[in-house]
Amino acid sequence: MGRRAAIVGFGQTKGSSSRRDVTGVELINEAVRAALADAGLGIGDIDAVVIGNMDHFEGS
Amino acid sequence: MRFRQKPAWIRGAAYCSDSYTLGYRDLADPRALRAAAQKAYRMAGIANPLKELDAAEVYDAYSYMELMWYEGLGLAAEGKGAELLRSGATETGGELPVNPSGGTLSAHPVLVAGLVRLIEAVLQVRGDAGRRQVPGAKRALAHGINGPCGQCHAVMIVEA
Repeated sequence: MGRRAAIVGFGQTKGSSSRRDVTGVELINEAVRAALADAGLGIGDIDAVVIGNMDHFEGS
Repeated sequence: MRFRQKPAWIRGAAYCSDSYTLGYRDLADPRALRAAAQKAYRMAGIANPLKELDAAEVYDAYSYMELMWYEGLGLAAEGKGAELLRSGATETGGELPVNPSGGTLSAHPVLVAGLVRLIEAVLQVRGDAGRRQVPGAKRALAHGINGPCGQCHAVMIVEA
């Protein structure tokens, strides 16, 4: 495989049995912001986004 | 481009899915995991995972899983998972610490349980795992599953 793929940052939302303070979209935002902060990057530095989702839970 | 963190290089990444229908497969034979692990090891150039990996994070939402996944991951021969556990090789300070994070039995963020294993593997090779750090860890494995009773397995190898 290619030798130039690396994980340079990650983000995880605050874990809790229930998060009534955010919507589902805001939860994604929280994780993305944490990942960008960890990597020291801005959203403008990102060239491609891949999302893992489950339509059943997201009602989309 | 310069990054704030030490990159965790992806050396191997593979997944394999078995039949959805439980009656169509042997639930005590994790062949999908075996296939995924062997492919990831080939990519990473790993011949003996027990010796060549420094830490492993596996999905163990139920206590039987860790023992069976040892065998699927090639850390123990078939039927020898319990023996490996008893030997202490997978404890903190052992030859290959498994789930220094506490694993999924300790905290199970269901839909991202595999991704969190990968985060933990990254923290290990970055040297950022705090009190659960495996000293000097350079190469770590992350494992996640999906589907009923270990239908689909994903294995990734990251390296500092």
